[in-house]
Amino acid sequence: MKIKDYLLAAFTILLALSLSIAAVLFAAHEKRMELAQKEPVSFQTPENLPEELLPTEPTTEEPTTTTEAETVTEPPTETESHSIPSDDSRIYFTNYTFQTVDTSYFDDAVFIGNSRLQGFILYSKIPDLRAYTYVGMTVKSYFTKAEFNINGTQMTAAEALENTPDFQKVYLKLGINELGWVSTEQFIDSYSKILEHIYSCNPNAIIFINSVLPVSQAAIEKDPTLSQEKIIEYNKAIQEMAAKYGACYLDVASIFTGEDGYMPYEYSFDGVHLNADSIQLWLKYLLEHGIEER
Amino acid sequence: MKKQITRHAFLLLMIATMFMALTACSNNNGNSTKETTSLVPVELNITEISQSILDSGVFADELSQVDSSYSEMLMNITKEEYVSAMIYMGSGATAERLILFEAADNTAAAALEEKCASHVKEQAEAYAGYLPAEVDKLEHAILKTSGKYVILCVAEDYSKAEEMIQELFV
Repeated sequence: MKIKDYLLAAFTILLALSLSIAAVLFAAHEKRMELAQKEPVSFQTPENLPEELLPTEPTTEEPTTTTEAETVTEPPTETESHSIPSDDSRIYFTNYTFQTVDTSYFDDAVFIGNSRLQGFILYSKIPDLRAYTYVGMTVKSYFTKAEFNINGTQMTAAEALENTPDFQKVYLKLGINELGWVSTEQFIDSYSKILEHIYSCNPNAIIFINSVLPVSQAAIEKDPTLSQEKIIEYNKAIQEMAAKYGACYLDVASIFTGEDGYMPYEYSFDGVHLNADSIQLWLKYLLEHGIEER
Repeated sequence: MKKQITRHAFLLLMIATMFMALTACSNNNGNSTKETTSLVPVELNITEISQSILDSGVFADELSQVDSSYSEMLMNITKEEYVSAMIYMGSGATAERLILFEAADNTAAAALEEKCASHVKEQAEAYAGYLPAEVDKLEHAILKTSGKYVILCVAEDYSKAEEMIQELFV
């Protein structure tokens, strides 16, 4: 009898313990499910911005020492190895031959530039283009702003390119964020350093330099730093730089310039950034201006 | 003696039952039935949800769909980190965007949410020096996770967008 009683007591205790453990486990599960639901997060901007993120003031970009203006080499017009197509005289190139290509042409290309080029990448409807683009990129921040996470390391565009295997072509698009700079020479001097850097990564790379696109009159009225005259001046200088370095100047601006010299309203949302439909016109232009490999 | 053991056993059973009741109750915290988490994972149609939000008029910009392969370029989120994604970006004239992810599970969704939060902070820094008027939208970005789903919305009418998302993203 005695043993039976003890067995009964033991069973009762065991049952009570099991029920308690089950209760604790059930409560823990409820808590986990609750944690899966979260409130929306609110964000605050940092109070103090790094200097490089502040709007560019023209005076800060002036060189502190005067330098002699560089002699710009007269661009070659014809060589024995090519002829300028009669319907494409606005394009500067050296010993290249243009051909129409398909999107596989971009497989070994890298696109580097500002928000306008980022728009091209996103709305081109071509997946997996290799691109180092960001809002506000300039010819200087190419070397200074670590915007890209490559294998867990934050890198500048320059460093990212150094870590990009097997690129053969580079498409560049810069200039709109530098319109407020006082000195065209300084802009070109910095742009030239980018070309030199690209060639140091791949001496045989084909560099395509997209001209600075026009802006609309309404955009200029809203933002006085935008200037169609400055854009034209920059593009002329870029064209000369491209010839000097053997890069290919692509006058994409010509397809988005209206008769009045400004970007027509229908191409853009804000007079500066192309809309998704207009990006297809840009893409068509690039596909019609592929270059035979050197 | 037998009566005593029986009485003790009954007491123990009562204590265990009370303990179970207390621990179960302590995790409700007075929440309403509507907010009680279902044990069955909710399946959401992110295509339909994104279209509803796009059609609602909360955006000032023209948003266009972007190939999901660009999640890495935009947000440092690789294709392997989600099952599917819907990405809509503005023209570049604004910071507006609408991004939805379906992750493999809740843990993966939590990781995506962290990366989305970092992305918004980075964009706020970039736009502060580029288009300062857009910073307000980024400060009021809506970032919500529901099970294995994550949504990020940066919109002009962020109040209306948040209301919609609260209803659609349960």
